[in-house]
Amino acid sequence: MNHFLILFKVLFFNKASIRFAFGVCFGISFSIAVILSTIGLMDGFSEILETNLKKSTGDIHFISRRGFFEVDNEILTTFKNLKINEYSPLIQSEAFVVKDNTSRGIAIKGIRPDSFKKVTGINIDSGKLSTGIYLGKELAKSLQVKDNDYVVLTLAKGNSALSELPLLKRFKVVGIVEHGIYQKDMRFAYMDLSVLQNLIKAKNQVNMMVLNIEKPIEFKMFGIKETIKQKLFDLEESLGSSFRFRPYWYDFSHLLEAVEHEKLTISLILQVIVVVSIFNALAFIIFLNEKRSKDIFLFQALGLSKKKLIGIWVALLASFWFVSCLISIVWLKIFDYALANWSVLKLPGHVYQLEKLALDIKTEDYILVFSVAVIWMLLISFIGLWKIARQPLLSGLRKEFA
Amino acid sequence: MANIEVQAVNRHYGQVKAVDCLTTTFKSGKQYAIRGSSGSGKSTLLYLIAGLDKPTAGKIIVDEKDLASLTDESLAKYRNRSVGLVFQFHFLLPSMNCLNNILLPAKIGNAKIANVKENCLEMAKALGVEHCLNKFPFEISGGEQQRINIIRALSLKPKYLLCDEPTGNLDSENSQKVVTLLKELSTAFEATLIVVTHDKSVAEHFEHGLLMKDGKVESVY
Repeated sequence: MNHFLILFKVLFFNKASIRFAFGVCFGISFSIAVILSTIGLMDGFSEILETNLKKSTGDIHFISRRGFFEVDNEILTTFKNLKINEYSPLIQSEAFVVKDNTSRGIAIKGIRPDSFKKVTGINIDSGKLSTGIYLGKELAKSLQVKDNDYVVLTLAKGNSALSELPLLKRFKVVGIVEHGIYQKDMRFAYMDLSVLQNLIKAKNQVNMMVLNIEKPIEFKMFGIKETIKQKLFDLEESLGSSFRFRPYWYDFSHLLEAVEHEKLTISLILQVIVVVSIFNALAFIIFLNEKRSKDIFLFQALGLSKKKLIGIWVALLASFWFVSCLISIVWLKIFDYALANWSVLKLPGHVYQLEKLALDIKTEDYILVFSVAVIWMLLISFIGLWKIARQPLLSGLRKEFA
Repeated sequence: MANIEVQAVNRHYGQVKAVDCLTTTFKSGKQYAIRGSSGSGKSTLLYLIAGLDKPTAGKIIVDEKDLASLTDESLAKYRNRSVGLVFQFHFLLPSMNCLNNILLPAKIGNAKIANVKENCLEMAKALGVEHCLNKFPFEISGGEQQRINIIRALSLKPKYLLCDEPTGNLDSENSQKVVTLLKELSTAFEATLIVVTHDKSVAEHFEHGLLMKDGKVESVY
């Protein structure tokens, strides 16, 4: 171990070497951080989108193939058999909301606030809802309304009365609700289920249900998606002839799939910057080998074998890699902070659905990116190290000590 | 005690025959001078014996082993433990003090530092450079640097003390002092001393010697 420490000390004796080494670590760590950030952003986007999707529809939602339906014993028995304890019936209908000279096409949801909150987590006060409607955040913003303002809803009068004139009714805005997805914040409004049932003459009937599945103990290990897929299959088996079942990601499945593909492609493309930065590490070794050649040849003359010399270079590379990995984590913290706090990095919600992003980097992402970096490092450095190993000792000594 | 047997050794660099079919023996514990003009192959022969280079043909048998047949690791060990090298330019690392420069072979060879240090301190005392040990090389004189260099070469008590033009950049008075010192130390350590020199007056101090020309031994005395 002694020779390692001494040669390290000798190699880094001058400031130029230390500066160069710092530059190399800076470069490698930055390129690693860029790849991890890309993966983290993509995963963060998917994660936030999926979380917010779940927030508006629960794990699973379903509609009847025949429009409106009653929550009958068959449905309840199926839920009981499949251990589904959290569910909420609702009506979702198209409507227009009008405020002064502005109108917007929306999806009005008639809900039972208590059970709806259990399934989705959206906190809508049942007392307030009985006296008015809740609007999505972006919708309220675009109509320029706030709590206690009044808006007019235009609804079809009953599900079988298309020939009649639409129903116009004035409602007080009793709350603003945020889903975290631009499209839903722009389109959704909520009112009490019984009020909507009366308005559209759909007594005791609903056209949609949202539900949560029971999470198994090993939930975190296997991931929620597989469990939901299994439960979807079970529900289809029991009630599939009358209902269409959808997982929470259904509406955005193509987007989520595209993000996965992009993640892979961009990560592969960004390997180029890792390779470029690792060439700097190789350049550093060649620089040291030239600059400190006298010392290195002296070490060899005094009994340092080529094998040990190569071992020292490999250890140096490994140190670069390790330090770079640590620094890249610092970079990631900085990127994450910037994403959360710098307005310039705020996403246009109407394009990306989400307003803000956060890095979501999993342990396996770290392992993957760090491992790929060390593999590149070994592959690229192999040529340089091989060249160093082949340098004849005597000619080096003669050159340096002449 | 083992001899160094050089058996029909060639060291050619392309068309240049640095050492050409050279055969000789260096007896254990004796002191030799290898003399010749520049380009005669004397340094090449020394480096071949030191295990810093391999012959293109022939054998160099040291301790009953052919150096050419040793692995890189074994050859490095041989250089570390059996050979003490003194160069013309007593190269000391500027990043460490003289004591650490002296202990460099021990550290490279993972030897017990405490024992080596004790011996080196005694040598430093004997050679009058005890006060230099905690100083950096640039803080001491050329003569002191050279004595530090010699202590480093002898730090692991090598069997062979090989010196390449150790007096190359010294005046005649200092040259004589260095030669005397090398002879005394090699006697004390029972080491075989081989000194390469182009200087006839230096070579005359040695009981045994080779005169080389064009890679061959011209005469042995």
